[in-house]
Amino acid sequence: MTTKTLNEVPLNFEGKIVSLSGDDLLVSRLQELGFIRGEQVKVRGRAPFGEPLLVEVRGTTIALRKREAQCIQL
Amino acid sequence: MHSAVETDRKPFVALVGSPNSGKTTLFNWLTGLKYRTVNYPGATVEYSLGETHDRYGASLPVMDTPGTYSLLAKSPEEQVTVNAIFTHPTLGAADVVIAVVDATQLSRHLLVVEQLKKSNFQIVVALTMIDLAHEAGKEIDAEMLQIELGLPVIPVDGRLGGGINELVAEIQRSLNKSGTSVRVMPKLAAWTSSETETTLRHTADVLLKVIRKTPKQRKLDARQRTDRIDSVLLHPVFGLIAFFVIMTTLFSTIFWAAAPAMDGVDSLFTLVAEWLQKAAPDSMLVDFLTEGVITSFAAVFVFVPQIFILFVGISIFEDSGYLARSAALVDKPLGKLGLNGRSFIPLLSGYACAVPAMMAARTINSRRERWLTLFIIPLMQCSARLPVYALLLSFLFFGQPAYYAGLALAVIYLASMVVGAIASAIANKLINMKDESIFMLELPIYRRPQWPTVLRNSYTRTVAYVKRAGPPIFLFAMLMWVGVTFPHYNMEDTAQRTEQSYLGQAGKVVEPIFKPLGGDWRVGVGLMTAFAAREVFVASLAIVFNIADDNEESMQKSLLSTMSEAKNSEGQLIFTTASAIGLIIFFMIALQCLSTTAIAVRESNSWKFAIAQLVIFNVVAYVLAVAAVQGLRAIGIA
Repeated sequence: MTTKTLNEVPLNFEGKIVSLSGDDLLVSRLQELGFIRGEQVKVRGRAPFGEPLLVEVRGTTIALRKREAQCIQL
Repeated sequence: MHSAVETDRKPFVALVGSPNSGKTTLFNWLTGLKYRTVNYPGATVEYSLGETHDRYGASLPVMDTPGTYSLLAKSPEEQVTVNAIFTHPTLGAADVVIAVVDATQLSRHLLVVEQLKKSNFQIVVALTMIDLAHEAGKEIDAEMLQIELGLPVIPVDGRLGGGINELVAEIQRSLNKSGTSVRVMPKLAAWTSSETETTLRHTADVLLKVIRKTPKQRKLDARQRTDRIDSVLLHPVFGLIAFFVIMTTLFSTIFWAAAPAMDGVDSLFTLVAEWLQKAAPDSMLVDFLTEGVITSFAAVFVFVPQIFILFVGISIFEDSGYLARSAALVDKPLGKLGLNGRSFIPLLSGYACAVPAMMAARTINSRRERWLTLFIIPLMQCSARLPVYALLLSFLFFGQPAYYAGLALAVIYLASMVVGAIASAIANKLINMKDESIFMLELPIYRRPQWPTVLRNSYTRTVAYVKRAGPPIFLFAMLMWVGVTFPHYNMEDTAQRTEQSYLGQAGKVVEPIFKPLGGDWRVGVGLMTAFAAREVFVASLAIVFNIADDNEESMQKSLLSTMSEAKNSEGQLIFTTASAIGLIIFFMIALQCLSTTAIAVRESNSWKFAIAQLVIFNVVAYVLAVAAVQGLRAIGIA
């Protein structure tokens, strides 16, 4: 199975996080918001200008820029 | 570290919790809305200090800290939270920490509880938003949670204030318990990223034990309602339309709703001045009080209604959950200019006043984006410019339909946005500062704003504005009064007195600078006094052109007719189409407000930044204004 980043998956795609990449600070921020390995996430939509992404995780919605979403592999 | 002062200090309680956890609402209940907001020593971050209200049977010092998802601070605000609870300069380490967790967000909010535990704090967990969990068909077994965490858990009701008595009683129990044994000082525990993972997995397991599923109380729970609303408010088309409608509404409310209150403030000061003059006519003290002190106070307070309404608007956005959405909506376009979605509220506030706007820029994490935002804030057309535009536009469109001036004003506002965008794009290219840019924002559920919280927040922020902006405005207004009144205080003819005053003389010295703008020394005096506050320009013109009329409307008329006839020493008209346009361009760009510069020093923590900003904007404004005047003249428009 090939992994994709959260930025590449289609709208309403649901999947499990395989890994996080990027600098430590960014990864640690993502983790604290609930983006940890094995967690189920769903891309709910995109803001009007195509960015940020609106991602559902652990019962809340987080707005993420593409660059930040790229750090999350599904 | 603080053991030396431990013996005689009062124990203090700190609230810690994630953003949107209901922390501030709980703080409002605990203190009965009686608290003060203070700046953390050495940082431009504010936090609140108060005491638990008597009705809960104990008055304990209690502190509200900036929201944080974790004790590993990643922004100046989060750092203040950590510093305040571990090593507060005067209070020491928190004796009890109230960990505020949202019942609907337990799986994420328990992370910080675990970190607090590892750092040896005495902890009481306050469980908020139980009503929302209940609505969604989730009952939280608080006793089970207490066993799982090994900490006291008190459910509280943010809307009605239930559970606060129990919370305070539990805090006292914790204090008594710790009072009997030697205190183990809290110490920030090391925390790795794999610990975050393990903890978050563990909390997910804990939830399985403490949450009991029940039938849903409402067809749509809060989360589902929020998703429904977001499908409109974040929609590619409707979302943008809604955004413009909401912002235009706020914007026009700032101006229309504040107008009567501003007139009220104005007449109040005028009344006091008149009364004083009647009580003791012709004395220097009364002149000093009426024309110096009262005018200066009026210059500060006349904008208070507008700023209060602005803060009410922003607090409503904050409390309802729309603030995060508005930032998400504009993050992309602002990002292109080197800014951030979080720059939006500071920039919007700039249309009322640059001072609160710069203070609002504190929520921007990246230093680079914060500097860029601070840099362009003075280009947002603050309300002090309005009286100036009103005068110059009435001059330009004298005797023509009123909507001409209205349209021209809209053009000025739009042009200023374009100028702001260009300035930001240029500064973004030139600024030599590396800093990661992140957005990452939780979109909380929508909630009905709570009026006590909204009004209390707005009041606190308005007071902060008066405290910050007041002294510089007041000081400069006083200096200007001295400058235009002395040394020939006793001279009968006020126009002559002004001409020979310190400022009048200075105006003559710098007259060559204003020549290319089409002005003479009198315009120069007007522009110099505008550094106290931009709107002072109008009053100064009235003084130097010797308009003696107390009625504001007829004063404007006589000023306009005097302006249309005023000639310089060479017999040329001073106010022409070209020079009025030049002045408008000058006011649009120039940073003529010394309180703004005072705040810029503080907020950027750099004199260099503030002075560069002051110089750049004034030089650019001057060059563009001169270019416009000379260009217009070259094509035959005088």
